[in-house]
Amino acid sequence: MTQPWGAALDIIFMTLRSMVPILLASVGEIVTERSGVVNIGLEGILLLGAFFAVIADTATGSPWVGVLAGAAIGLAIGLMHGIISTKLKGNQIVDTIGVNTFALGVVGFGIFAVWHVWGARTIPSSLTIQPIYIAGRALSPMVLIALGIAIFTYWWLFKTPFGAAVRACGEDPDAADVVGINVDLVRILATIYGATLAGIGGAYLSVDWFAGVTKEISAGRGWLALANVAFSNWNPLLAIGGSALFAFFDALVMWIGPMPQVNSIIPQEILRTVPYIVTIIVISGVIKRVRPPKALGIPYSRE
Amino acid sequence: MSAVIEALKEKAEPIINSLIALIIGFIGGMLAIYVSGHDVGQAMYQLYIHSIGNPFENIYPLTVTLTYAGPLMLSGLAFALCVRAGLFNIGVEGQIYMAALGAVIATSIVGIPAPLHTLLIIASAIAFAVAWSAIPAALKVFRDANEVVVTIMLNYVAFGVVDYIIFRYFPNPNDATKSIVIPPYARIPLLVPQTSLSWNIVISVVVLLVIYFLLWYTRPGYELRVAGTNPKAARYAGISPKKAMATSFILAGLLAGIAGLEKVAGLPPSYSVMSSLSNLQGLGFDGIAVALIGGNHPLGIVFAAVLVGALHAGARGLNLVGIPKEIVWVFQGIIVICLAVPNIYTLIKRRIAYLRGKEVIKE
Repeated sequence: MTQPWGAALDIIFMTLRSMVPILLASVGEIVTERSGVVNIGLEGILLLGAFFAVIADTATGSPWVGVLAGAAIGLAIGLMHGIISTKLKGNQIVDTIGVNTFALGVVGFGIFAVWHVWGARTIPSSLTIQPIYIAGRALSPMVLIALGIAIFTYWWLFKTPFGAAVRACGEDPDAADVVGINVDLVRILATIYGATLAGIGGAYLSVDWFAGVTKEISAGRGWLALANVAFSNWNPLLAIGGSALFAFFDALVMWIGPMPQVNSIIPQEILRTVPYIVTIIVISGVIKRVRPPKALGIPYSRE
Repeated sequence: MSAVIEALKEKAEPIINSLIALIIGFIGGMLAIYVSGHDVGQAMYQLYIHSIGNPFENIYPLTVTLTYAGPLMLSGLAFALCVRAGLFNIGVEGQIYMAALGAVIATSIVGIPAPLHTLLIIASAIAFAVAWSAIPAALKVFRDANEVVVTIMLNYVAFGVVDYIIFRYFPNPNDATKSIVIPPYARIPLLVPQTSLSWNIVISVVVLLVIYFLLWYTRPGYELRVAGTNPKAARYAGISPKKAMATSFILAGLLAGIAGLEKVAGLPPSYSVMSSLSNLQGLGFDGIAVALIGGNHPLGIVFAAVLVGALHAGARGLNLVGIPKEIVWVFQGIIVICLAVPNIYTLIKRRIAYLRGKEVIKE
């Protein structure tokens, strides 16, 4: 009797664990896009966050300092992207393609340069964020923090004047300007907020979930987050559900993948592509109904 | 006269922008090498002698650069073509995997005459890549799905599927790290003996010139470019932006198919697909940098491909002094970030004028 319940709980906990980086990156990107800036560099920021978190973690012995380091690198990238997208009127897609390439380079090169190992660096479990126990199962406190950030972000984006200013910049920057909002400044801050959350998500990957960093640690989660932004209609609360959906398939694959009875029908390598196929179906099937912020991706200039 | 100078200036500006981005990229890359504790001078020397060296004494380093440049031209052009039609197609990477799969599957067929078999391998590689490219094309045209996310997802799917099928069904019986090899008669012959440089580079340049001609000197090419730069105006002129999108995706698939074929059938010594697709990985992504450095223009892409090819060739030298080849992406990433700023040259000029205390002229 207890077994099916146990299995259901297992998969819920695995889903929660997989959800964190996707949720943090999507909630952040929602704020960024609501302000009118698009950042497709989430994948690279996750990667950079994971890498620098391990460096800070091993240097100080505290995974929480690692999380701060992840946040800091996200903040730096967000500041740069924010300025390029506003003051410099750059192409927002191109510079964040550059961020992704840069991240691949820095992490691939850096893992060897720092630790003299090829491709992967693990850390002892004493250097990871210690889990709390619920229903006899380990749960990372980062799960609760990520959920808290999503709810908090929903509140400030929709219930506070600053949130209203952010949304105004994304919908009608001319009107925002007229009422005295500094469009460029709001957009830069919103971009920093988004990239910082992605950096924290990256840190979670390395100093919590996987206890180490590899060249491929982000594994497309930044892109899943980007798909999730539209899927959840630019709403941080709905993003929780969307992240849970994407994470569920991730968890399901990890859970049933190694089972011999499953393996005899579908090989693991093919099964691993399921979350990506689901994403394609979701964004081409469901997202027809949603509407992005009107001024998304267009630098604002006063007439 | 002054009009001519103005026109020349306009043409020169994007080139100067690219040069500035390159300089900043190299400074950034050297900084990364310096921070990691390596000798920057030694590293740059290695980069140089393994990519260019002294061509009058030893042509080998240059042939390695051109070996890399060949397929890069096509993957870069595939991305650029889609940008011209208003699309960010990140899916060339996956289409190249599919081309390799097509080539390997066709190779496995036995009992047909050599010329026919060669044709079949070529056709199969291209067909697989085009078919894979048709998926984002259809989803973009009929469902208006974001092509960036769709193509990235398809890259992951392609990697899983291709790696699995090749190494499950077509492994090399003598060498577990590679697939079955392309038969000698179907290989793209060497251009310079004793090197890795095959006719790849010639094929790439010819294909590139053909696409250049199509885009700039034919009506459909013109329509494609108009649809990309100004979809609204295009619609008024009776040009369908959707048609332009579909065409560019299919052409990109074709180019990716040829690029994949060059990697599998035109690159000694392996003439096969290596495990984890290691001899294909990154070609599509590097093509994005090539396209952007080349200003998404076919002629610019020739130079950009040689430049990025030289970086890759030089990276082998960096490996010898203990610097991982991924450093190339640090250079490329910074270069691309700088290229995103449209008027970096004007910005710097204005900044200098400002520092000199001159009056800033606004356009």
